[in-house]
Amino acid sequence: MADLTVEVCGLRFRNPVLPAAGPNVRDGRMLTEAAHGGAGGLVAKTISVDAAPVPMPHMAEVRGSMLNTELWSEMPPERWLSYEYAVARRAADEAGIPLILSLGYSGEEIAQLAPLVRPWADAVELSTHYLGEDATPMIQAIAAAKAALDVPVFVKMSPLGREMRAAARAAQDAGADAIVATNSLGPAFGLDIETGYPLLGGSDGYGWLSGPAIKPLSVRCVYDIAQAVDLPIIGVGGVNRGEDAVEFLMAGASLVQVCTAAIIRGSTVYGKIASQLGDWLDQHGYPSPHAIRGLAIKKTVP
Amino acid sequence: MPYYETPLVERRELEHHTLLSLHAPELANALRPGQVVMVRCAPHASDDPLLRRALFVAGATSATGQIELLVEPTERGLPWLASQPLGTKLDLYGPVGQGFRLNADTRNLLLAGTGPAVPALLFAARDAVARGLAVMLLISAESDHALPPPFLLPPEVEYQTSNTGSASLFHLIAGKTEAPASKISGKRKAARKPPEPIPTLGHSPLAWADQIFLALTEPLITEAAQTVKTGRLRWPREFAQAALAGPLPCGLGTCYACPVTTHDGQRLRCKDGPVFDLRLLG
Ligand SMILES: Cc1cc2nc3c(=O)[nH]c(=O)nc-3n(C[C@H](O)[C@H](O)[C@H](O)COP(=O)(O)O)c2cc1C
Ligand code: FES
Repeated sequence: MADLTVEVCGLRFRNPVLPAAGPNVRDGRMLTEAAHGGAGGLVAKTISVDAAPVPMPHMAEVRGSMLNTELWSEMPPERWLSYEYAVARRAADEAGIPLILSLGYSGEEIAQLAPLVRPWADAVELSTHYLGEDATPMIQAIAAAKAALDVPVFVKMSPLGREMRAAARAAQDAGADAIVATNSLGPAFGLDIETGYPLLGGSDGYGWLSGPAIKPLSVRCVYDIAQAVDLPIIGVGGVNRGEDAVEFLMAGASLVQVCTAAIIRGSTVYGKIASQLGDWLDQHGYPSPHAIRGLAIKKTVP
Repeated sequence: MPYYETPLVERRELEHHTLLSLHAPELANALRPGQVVMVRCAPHASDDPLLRRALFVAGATSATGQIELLVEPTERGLPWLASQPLGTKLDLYGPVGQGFRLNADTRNLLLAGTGPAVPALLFAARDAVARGLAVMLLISAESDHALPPPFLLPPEVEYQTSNTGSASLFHLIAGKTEAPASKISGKRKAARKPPEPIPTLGHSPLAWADQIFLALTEPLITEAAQTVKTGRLRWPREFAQAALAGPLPCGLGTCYACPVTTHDGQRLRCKDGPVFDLRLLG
């Protein structure tokens, strides 16, 4: 039987399927459920220096995919620091898995938050979602995290066109320890044709696409990044079943994260995807996820 | 929120609806009339539709461990659900939200409604009859075939229907004699010791009722509240409750796509509802 454990940045994950930051890990209770649901490690919802406003509605179905305009955590950081992280830490310790805390966004905000979350974090993940396409704010955020922390710093990228390689190189040069790719895709826009109003709330009705529709884009990003940097990569975007995880690993990822499928299918989805991945590896004679990592690059890149 | 893989044990194709019975003992115990389950309506290998469909539960029996869903093929995914063969394991979670709250001293229960929340009334009717209450059920729909068939109800339930749309519902509730064409589809049988006889059309079901549970869509709230206000001098809290149909994309309180404006501020249909006290709404 395939050994699903994976080591990334010195952290040992019991399998390569983790939650991605989102409502599926919006508090300590949901993180505990994720651990019970078989996640290989935990990633908490992004927090920032203030609680996020809540646009109504902030999720809607579009054919084959989902639109969301959920920002970072609607709970203030004080709540996470005084209660939720302790609950999540306990769940991670009981399951023997790492806990990764997601922080946003600018260098100043990261400098403020990073030392505060350190007692609970095995690693941090920096969301660059609202930092734009210029690499400078991302580099400043990485520098702030590295200056404040002695744990690995992962950087989560939004899907960019052909710029993924350059962005990943910039993150590596700034000291990032791993790249998470990708966040949801957008801005996108959908309308309720009966009313003529946008499907989503918020000032402009814009949203971000996630779920199955973005998987080919996220896999391409992972594939590009894997050729550009030597860092471990965590693939995210449309992972719904074991085969999706296989595809990300073959494109160069070491771990995968799951958000939309967990919102829809619940917290046991992580364990289900991990066991489907294990079955696939067994059926194809691979001893571990590592054995297929980057296989596509080996086959396609001379 | 508990997730289940529940086998389909019975399917009855009716004229317009399909009645599905699922074996789900834990859910059957936990569900209350007015609550919803979120059902995945796509084959295993497909992600379309991606989101679950929210269905008001039409019945749950602890003794058999079965729950019932009355599926009307109105939304993408529902025709797929209705056509599944026996033995299919349906992926669902629930119970979602708050159900109807039955007062301990209620003897006469009036149920009335139209639209996608109507199955909640069938569940409430069966539950109330099992508790020995006198039950009257009034349902309106756009056409005969969109009405739930009377054989889904215990014979004790007085069942009156109208096939002329939602406007006639409020005539039925108020017992107005000039009600648009309506008919009696169910048969009244002696309820177990009702304190007062069940009214016939022409008398007010509303005056007879100790509580009224409604199945509504939001545009009907104002008229429902007006009807109750006009028919009752005293209208205490919990007397009139409404199960509100409308979009429930996640059923988890995370997408904020189910807001309902109440006198106590904005509430979520999937957490604070789908059953609300009508006084909070109207
Ligand atoms: C409702 C929702 C909320 C999200 N919130 C966050 C967040 O707080 N921080 C973040 O880095 N990504 C967030 N994401 C993005 C996801 O973590 C993930 O990168 C993206 O949705 C693609 O993965 P998926 O297809 O598995 O959902 C969110 C996604 C959704 C759908
Ligand atoms: S259905 Fe998503 S918050 Fe209510």
